[in-house]
Amino acid sequence: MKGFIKIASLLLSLMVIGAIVFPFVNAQPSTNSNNQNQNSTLILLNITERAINFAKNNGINVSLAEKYYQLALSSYNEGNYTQAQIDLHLAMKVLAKEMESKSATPIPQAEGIKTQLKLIEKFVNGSNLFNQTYKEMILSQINQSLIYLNQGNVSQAAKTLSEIKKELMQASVKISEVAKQRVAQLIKNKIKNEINNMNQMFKAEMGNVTSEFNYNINVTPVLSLVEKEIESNSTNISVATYANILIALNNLDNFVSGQKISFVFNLSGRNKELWGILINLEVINRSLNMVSSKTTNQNINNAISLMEESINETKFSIKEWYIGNDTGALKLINESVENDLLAQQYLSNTTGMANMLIPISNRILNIDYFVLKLINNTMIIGKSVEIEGFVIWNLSSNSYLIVGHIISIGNHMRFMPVTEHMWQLMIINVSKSTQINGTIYPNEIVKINGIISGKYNAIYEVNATQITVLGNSTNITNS
Amino acid sequence: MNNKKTIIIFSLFIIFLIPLIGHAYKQYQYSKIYVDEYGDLSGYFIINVTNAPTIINVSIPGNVSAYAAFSNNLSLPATLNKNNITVLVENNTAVNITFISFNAVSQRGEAFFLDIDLPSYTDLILPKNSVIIYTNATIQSINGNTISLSPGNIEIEYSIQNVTSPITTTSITNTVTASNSTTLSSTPLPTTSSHASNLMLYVAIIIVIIIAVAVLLLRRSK
Repeated sequence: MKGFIKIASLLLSLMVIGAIVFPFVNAQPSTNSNNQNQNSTLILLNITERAINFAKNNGINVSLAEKYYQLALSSYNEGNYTQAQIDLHLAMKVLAKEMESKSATPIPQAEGIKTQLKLIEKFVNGSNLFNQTYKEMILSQINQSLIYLNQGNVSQAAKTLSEIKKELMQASVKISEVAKQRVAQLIKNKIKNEINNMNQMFKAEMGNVTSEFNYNINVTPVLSLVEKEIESNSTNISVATYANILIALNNLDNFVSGQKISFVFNLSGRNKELWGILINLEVINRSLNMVSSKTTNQNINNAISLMEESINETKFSIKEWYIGNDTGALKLINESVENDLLAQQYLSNTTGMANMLIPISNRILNIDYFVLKLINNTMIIGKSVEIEGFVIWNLSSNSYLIVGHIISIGNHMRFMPVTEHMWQLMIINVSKSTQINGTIYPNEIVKINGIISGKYNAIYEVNATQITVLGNSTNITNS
Repeated sequence: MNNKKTIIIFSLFIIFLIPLIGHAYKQYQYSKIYVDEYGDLSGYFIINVTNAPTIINVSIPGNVSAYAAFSNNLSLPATLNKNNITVLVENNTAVNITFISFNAVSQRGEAFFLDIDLPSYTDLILPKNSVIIYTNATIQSINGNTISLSPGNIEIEYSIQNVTSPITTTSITNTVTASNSTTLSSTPLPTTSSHASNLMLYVAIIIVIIIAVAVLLLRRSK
């Protein structure tokens, strides 16, 4: 046991030493600036001295360069490395000027061609990116060019070299296109993944809400448009655009995984109202059922069936409103109110049991007015809004898919979806009259002024009057 | 039983060391650019990307005739616009941008001038028998005609020495009397140990430590 502890201690000590030593081992040579400065000055001193000797051997007057060199040497010995480097640069500049003024020895063209051919041969042989057939084709052209050179046919060799260069450039473009297709596939997979995640989110958010409008409660159609656009343009899309699409999709993924995407503005506000209204309607419905089974009066029966229809319309209206179909909800509640009023007309012309039904009819009408007011107050469709968000991709030549949120709504102070801190997928439609400041690319942060015109499947549509591009949501690094 | 424990601890020790060795190696991945005597460039830049997805731009002087970017044996989308190669990087990784560029060095009389932006630590291999006349670069080390450089824009001017007439090193100075008492008068190019040889040295030290520990453990277990 003692031996074991000793060995373990020894190993741990070695690891600790390793951990301490490694940062120094790994450090780039810039860790100790003074030492580095001294070292680089020393290297420059050596380079300059060698350059002076070289120039002297080539018959160049080096007296001024030597003077600067001596000054540099003194500064170096005094530890003033910055000054030493300044003097060394001056010495080198003097030498360079002198060397530049010497007439150049012409380079034989054949030698230049041969060197370039050898360089290409090395490049092609050493690369894993070319297939064997391509390599053999290029190598055969190189051999042919070398044969021309050996025969003294320099112009033909140069022509072949030029063709080889064209081939290489085409191959470079082809390699990039294959890579672009791979990235396009990666993006499509990412989109599919986002579609699945968002459809699940939508179901979780909306529950099993049914709709008489057969509402498509999923985002598949919209994101499929993005996918289709990418598929048809995979090699034409620029490298920068691909990068921006990837960043935008990553941002979208963060919103989805953080459950910050909602499909309805002010959802939590709607959620609070929904169940109270549905329970009230259910209670009224039960009372109505109890009365309706006890009469044969035609007027009363007409009134009852109108009231039943009204209750159903109110239910559907509130459900449509809940899933964000505000226009549909408004239409339904207006129809419900009309039925209420008609039912009251039947009841007012009837005696007896009608007296029991009037209070029920009044309760239905009151609920309908409440729902109508609620929908009007919270209705987003048709409202002027200011939105901030980032672009994912263009769906067509005149529409963009963005992730955004409303930062202000006209003068409607009572409706404040911004307090939810939720983001929505939105389709931004542009027209000839839309004023666009900047160029809209994927991942750009944009500020949009416009009117919410409706929903396309689960996604709000905004007719933009003005779009201002504010910049990228993340910085593109230029190395 | 004791042997088993020893082997387990030894294995753990090696497991801990391997990433460190890997890390050390990774830090020393230098780009390599070759310059031939006719002013053509070939080679590769290695750029560690830590903010993917993103694009990286590399500017290459001369007439770029072939280029490709890849990482982990996968080619990356890359485009050439004039002298700029733009590469899409999807994931954080080391990206290799390989290229050939002809006539990248301009000749000025007897001097050759190269102006290049280095995106990462780079070994610039000048033609054989070249003599540097001027540079604005901060040189980390020189080994023969290989110059190790920091990232950034560098200008370098060199001349090709006639092999039949080597430089005669007439002593133009005395000695450097700085604290490290390095002598300059004999004028060999400073053969500052290069990063590659440093790496070999450190790896060798690690291997020796491992072997020493193994021998020690084996003796003790007996």
